Amino acid sequence: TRSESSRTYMGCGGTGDESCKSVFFSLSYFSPTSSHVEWCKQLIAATISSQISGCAPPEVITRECKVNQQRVIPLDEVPLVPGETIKSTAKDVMYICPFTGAVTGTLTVTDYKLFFVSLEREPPFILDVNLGAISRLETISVQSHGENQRGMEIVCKDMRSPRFAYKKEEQSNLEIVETLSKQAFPLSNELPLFAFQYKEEYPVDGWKVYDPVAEYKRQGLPNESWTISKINSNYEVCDTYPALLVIPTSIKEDELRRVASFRAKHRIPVLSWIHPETQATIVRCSQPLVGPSDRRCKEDERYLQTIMDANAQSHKLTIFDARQGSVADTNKAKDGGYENESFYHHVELNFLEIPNIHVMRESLRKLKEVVYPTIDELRWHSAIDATHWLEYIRLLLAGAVRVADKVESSKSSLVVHCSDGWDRTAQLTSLAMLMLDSYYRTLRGFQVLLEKEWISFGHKFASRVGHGDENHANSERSPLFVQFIDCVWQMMRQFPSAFEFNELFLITILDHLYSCLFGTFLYNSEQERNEKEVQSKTVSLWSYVNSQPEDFTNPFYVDYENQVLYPLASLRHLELWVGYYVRWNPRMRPQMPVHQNLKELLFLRAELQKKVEELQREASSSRSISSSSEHASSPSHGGTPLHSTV
Amino acid sequence: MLSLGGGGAKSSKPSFVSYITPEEIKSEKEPPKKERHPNLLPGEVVFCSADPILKHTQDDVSQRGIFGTLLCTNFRVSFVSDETPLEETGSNLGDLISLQMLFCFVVYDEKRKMITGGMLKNKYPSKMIIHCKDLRVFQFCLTFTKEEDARKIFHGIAHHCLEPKSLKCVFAFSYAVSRSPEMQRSQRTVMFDSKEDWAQEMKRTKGNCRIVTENEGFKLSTRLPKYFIIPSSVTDEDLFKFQGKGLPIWCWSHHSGCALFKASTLPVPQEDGVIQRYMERMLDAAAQTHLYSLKIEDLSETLPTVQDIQQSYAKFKQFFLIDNSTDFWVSDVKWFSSVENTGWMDIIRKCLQKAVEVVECLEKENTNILIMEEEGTDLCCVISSLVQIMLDPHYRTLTGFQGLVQKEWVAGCHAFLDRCNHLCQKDKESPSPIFLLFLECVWQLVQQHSPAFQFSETYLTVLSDSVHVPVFSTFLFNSAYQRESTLKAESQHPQRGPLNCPAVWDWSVQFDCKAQELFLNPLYADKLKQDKVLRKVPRPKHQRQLSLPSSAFKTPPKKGFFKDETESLKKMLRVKRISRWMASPDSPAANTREFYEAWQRRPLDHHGLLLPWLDGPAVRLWMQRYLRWIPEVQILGGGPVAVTNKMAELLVQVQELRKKLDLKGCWQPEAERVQLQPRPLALARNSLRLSSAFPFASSRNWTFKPVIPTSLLQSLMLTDKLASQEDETTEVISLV
Repeated sequence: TRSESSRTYMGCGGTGDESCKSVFFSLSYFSPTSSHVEWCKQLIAATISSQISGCAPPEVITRECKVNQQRVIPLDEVPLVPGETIKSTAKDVMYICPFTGAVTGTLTVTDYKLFFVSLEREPPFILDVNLGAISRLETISVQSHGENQRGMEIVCKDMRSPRFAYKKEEQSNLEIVETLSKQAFPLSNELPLFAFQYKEEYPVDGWKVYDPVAEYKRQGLPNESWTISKINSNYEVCDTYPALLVIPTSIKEDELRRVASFRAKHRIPVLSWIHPETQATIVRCSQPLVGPSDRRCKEDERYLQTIMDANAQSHKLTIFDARQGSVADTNKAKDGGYENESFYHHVELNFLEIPNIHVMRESLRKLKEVVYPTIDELRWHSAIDATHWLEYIRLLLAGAVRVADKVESSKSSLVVHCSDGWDRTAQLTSLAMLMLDSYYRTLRGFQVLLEKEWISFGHKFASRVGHGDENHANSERSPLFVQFIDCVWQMMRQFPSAFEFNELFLITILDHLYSCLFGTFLYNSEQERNEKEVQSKTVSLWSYVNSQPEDFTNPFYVDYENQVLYPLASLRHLELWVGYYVRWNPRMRPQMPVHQNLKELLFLRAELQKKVEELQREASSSRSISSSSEHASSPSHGGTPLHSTV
Repeated sequence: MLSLGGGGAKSSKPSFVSYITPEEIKSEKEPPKKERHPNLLPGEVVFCSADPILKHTQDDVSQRGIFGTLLCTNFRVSFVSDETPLEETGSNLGDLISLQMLFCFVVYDEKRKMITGGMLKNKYPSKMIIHCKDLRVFQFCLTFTKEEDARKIFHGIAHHCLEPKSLKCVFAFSYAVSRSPEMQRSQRTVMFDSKEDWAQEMKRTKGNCRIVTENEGFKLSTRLPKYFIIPSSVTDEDLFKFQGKGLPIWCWSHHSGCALFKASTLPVPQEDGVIQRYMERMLDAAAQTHLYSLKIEDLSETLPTVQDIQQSYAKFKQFFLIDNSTDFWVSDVKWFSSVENTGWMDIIRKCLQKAVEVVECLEKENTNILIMEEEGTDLCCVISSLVQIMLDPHYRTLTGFQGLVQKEWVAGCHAFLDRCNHLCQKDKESPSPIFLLFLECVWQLVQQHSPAFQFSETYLTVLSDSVHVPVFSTFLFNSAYQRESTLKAESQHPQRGPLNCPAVWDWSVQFDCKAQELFLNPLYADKLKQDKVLRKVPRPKHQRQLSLPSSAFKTPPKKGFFKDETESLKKMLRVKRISRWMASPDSPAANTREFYEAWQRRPLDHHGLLLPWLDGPAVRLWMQRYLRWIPEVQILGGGPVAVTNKMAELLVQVQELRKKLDLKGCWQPEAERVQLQPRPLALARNSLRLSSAFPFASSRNWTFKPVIPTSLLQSLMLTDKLASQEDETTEVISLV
């Protein structure tokens, strides 16, 4: 209970009016943010009103009885996924819903989720939060009218903070808080992540989605200049890189090792994507360890020269350093740095001026304040401006457009890096690849893109998200992947028919980035995932997605084959992703689904097509009409839906 | 974008479809003629011309241009390119600028001067920048022309476009006199200029009032239509008492029997109480003698004034009149705040909010509503038309909407002439984009509830442009009286009746059939189709509330604890900021909230009540209208047109399949019921070549060169520089 008491903002003495005063006093001492003051007031308000209204009004009870008689399956039964077990339950807990007012019901904590159900309303009110989405738990206690009241705020990573009120005296209430703080942060409490207990079986195996050899083969690799190397198969060269790497054919092993020692975290330049026609390549790596004394590494210089030579179309190599120039200089003073154009011949260095992970974290934090729980209509746009979130999105998109344009128009190979090459680098290369290669804009291709550029190349998902870890203040946390998905959404908005997948797919990815239900986003590197046997012990998110692909398909999709898409990096065309960030607000319900209309039409077409085909078969005509029925009715998968239903 | 139909025998009508592909233009255009003037309209006269003039092509980074002739006629400023039209898209040949331009800038020695009448210097201008009312920007370089010619054309343009003129000089009259009379009056739009139209409308909505015919000769009032409808119990004596002021004019009846009325306000009450008693009788009459309760909404108290609206729009439009890339990227930095600071979006929100309140009274409380305003012809028109669109699906069809504009705006005597400032008067008080504001509000509804509307956003954009095309009588007059008397006076043959000016609804004057198809929304859920959707598919559950299923929206029961207790709590704790967490029931938003939520719970019905979403992100910028001419923001291969295209393609496929089945003679009656409108959409198949500005601007030379922000660095770091740049622009504005 030590951790809990440290998170308790105050133990309040006295009664009546005094308590209010002390609430304000001690809160202003413990917590500088005004939201806590509000929270406290709210809690008091909620408890007072529950006292005024006394015990539960008789009508509620009678209705509940009626329900009891009728139902076969109890309405308040907690739906469980296979492998999930209930850990604790508490009755008479009040959920303070910021949109519809307080509601009293039963709170259940399992090893996967927190589930609140109230039969006070018709139909029953349900709140469901994945434990993985919880960033921190805060409890406060106030005393009013002689009763100890406690409040619990569950600050989530997915832009909401549900608040509960409960009585302190009851044992089950204390228990549930303790269970919650344990189950929400399994790694801090020596418990396994829930993904290892999840027992659902899907007809499709998502772990088979990404096969690096097949993906490189699709790109036309290996070829005479590039080879698929197994040098890192034991993760000896670089422990955060995948086992298979595409490197220039002519590079010898000892040279490579010397290059590795000159690059931060040994993240050597490796190929991410090659242009099918021009052979221009996108190469990713980490910063060179130049240091204040301008160290040089002949092998590194030769290595980049080889990359340039592999592309006959251009005699230049462009390096995009994602960082701000000033930050790169600071890094140089601390043994990092950037390529010196006078040592690397025919190399052009550009800074993309993208701020670091801390800036992004702060920006999203501000954004949450703007969108949750309520929106200031009058100042909405300036409030969004003040978070800078869209400005950073614009920067990222603009950077990626420059990368894509360099490859496509200038036909020149390029190198992308930031400091370690696992955050901004992954954002930029994957966005540029999405613009350049229509394969990545399909449902399957996008999964490959994530598996490749993000997961296998060691974006530190565990550190950035903080799976199962209670240390919410860890400065390693940052929503870079969210930011990337946001960029993809912006592209989708600008090109509504260029992507095979839909918005729900992106939201599902983000929900399960946090949920710890699937093994896909767990751990920091391929090596770690192999050690933990993630592939054999957990289920892949893609198993779930690919078992019901029709839910995640964009009905407007037209294959823009081999078409480069340049999104407009102008704020005039960027928009806050309301469907994700503001989705908890019922007033932000999306507009009537236009898609519905189209789905009808697709269905009609499929039916007509079927009829035409039948007739043709009957007439035993030799001609057959191509049947590209897009509406395939596949058996819907049983079990509870893991995404928000359409 | 639009060119008016060629004169006389020439039938080719260049229209915005011509931008689809250069190939199509080739086939449409006749061999290049050497004569240096565009195809003039009937009655159009060239005042002056000058050549060679270099027109800067805005969409080109290298600032190249095209040489040609610049002409000023009594209708437009036109630029005719010297080059053959074959190698470029139609944007040079026949580019015409309606005389309704906003401002004209002249550049002397790199310095900009805004030209208003009589401010011309004798100095030789090097460059002329024209800002149009439809937000296009043109730049002409005058340095290659003879000095005298340049000065002449420049004076000509300034004189004819910016100087005050009399109504008689408006081009519409010389056009109407000279044009061949075979064009017919627009067919299906109800014009509300006859007693029958009003009777029909009252019958349709089952209204129970009486039609006033006493104003046929405008003896009652010149500010009222020829025919209008008032509550039955208004006496003839009262009818004439205050020249129609304060009369509750019927707008629309709800199926429950309650009705919407509008009225102009009376002068300040005198002490004798005559006005008070008159007003009481009027209110009584409007309440249909206590059959319904009556609610009065004084719009001048709760909505922005006409001048506020004008000022806000003046600021707002500056952000779209962009003539170079640098300005574009500079203004991109604080885009959201800048737009917000103009207040324009907020005015839109307020109007929609007010309309929702009125709708609630009619729909939920079934009370009669009387909206009032000084003249009763500005915001009254906005609110009453919006209310009718939200409540009555008839007005969401194309002809229904046109009828509504006729009813509330044209017959309803909105002062178009003054508000649109067609005569370039210097009066600062009267111009105000009230009608545009209405179209903006409708656009918000269209983008939020697309399947409910038969017309497309392109239609609204074109309509907003047409207000300033001085060919139609629709938006030319201040009142029905002025229309009738002017058309009578201008008639060449008074014995044969008044001058026959085309109405804007006669779209064939402006566009060919192909272009007019773009007015229709392919996503429109026809009544027939809608029935099927309702029957077969349960209302799609909506996807975002993972943890807030529809049950969560239900409002707590009336005796619920927060609703009742908040007041006492507030007193007890002085909790003011609790409202951030829980909207207190006395805030105006909370009042309509319950109504909203009840509506949300109902099954989806595109032909029932429509309510707009008003929260911050829901009110959007009308991208098509405002961004269509700015090359920097055109998404090649993207934008909503990509979706429309896919939909159109599918419709064609379905139709083809149907035909096939038809041929084989196995058409099933069951399938017939869901028959779609046979609507061969003429969109180009290859949506990749279309840009987000389709069908308006042509794209950047069909290359896929990306637009890269030029001032990324500066935007983030060098705020000082930014500030100084902004100062410069304000200086220019202050010269007005």
